[in-house]
Amino acid sequence: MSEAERHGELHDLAVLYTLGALETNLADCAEARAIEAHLHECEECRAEVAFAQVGTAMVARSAAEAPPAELKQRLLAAVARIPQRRKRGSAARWIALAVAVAALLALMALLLRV
Amino acid sequence: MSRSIDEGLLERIASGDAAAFSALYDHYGDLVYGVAHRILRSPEQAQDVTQSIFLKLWSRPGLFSGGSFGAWIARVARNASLDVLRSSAVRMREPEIPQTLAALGDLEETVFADLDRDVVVRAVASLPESERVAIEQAYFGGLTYREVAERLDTPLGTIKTRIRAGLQRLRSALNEAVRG
Repeated sequence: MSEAERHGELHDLAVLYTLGALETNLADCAEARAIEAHLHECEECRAEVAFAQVGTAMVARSAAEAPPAELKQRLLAAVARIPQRRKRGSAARWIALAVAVAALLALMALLLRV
Repeated sequence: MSRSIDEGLLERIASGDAAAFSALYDHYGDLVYGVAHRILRSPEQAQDVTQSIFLKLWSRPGLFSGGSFGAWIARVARNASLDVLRSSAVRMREPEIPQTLAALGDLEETVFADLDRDVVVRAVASLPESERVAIEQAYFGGLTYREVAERLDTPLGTIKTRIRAGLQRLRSALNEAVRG
């Protein structure tokens, strides 16, 4: 297949790729991988994806609908109970550091006494 | 809500700010719930998906790595809902469009941040029916273009053309709406 033919084929699929209509599982989709690689080097196909992204965003936004009010209450109640990984990780790091410093100071005090 | 405001909210969420989480939900809850409801057709399942997505965002706000937040979370909502539809567990996936491509879509942000929802609904409703049906079966039905062609008993090439033409019309509708 010539480069022009390859471009034509992928150009055809770029819009479908953007809409999510290529395959059920894009991670396993050879067509999707080929398009992604091609997009890095093809301005024309990038323009194709860019307009399709806008159209896809319009389709998604058209479905927007207010959720039941109690959902927000449930979420906020749950959030109050769920610690964040980053916060907990950060606190754990500080505690570990404080324990290490305390142990070092205790060791130094012991050595100085001897 | 602009991109910088979204990023500011996510930074605050990362530091445990529940008010920022509430503000983000106020802006994007209807998008996530609406996409999930449209795909699943069950208010209960749509609520479960919405709750799952926002709680994961609370515990891991770094999952979003840039681009248009609205486009990203709509894609996450679609994927999670299609997972439920296909009877697999709800899970948060990374967006499938690579970061380099996400940067192409500055205008996507306009759709989520600036456009009145009624304008968007009218634009989609005014598409020729054959184009709208093909697009919606792919997006909300989770069908591939091959499956859409089979279901509508229409040649593959025609389905490709209809989807492209419809998305092009929506892009033009955005231009008109922005020009006002």
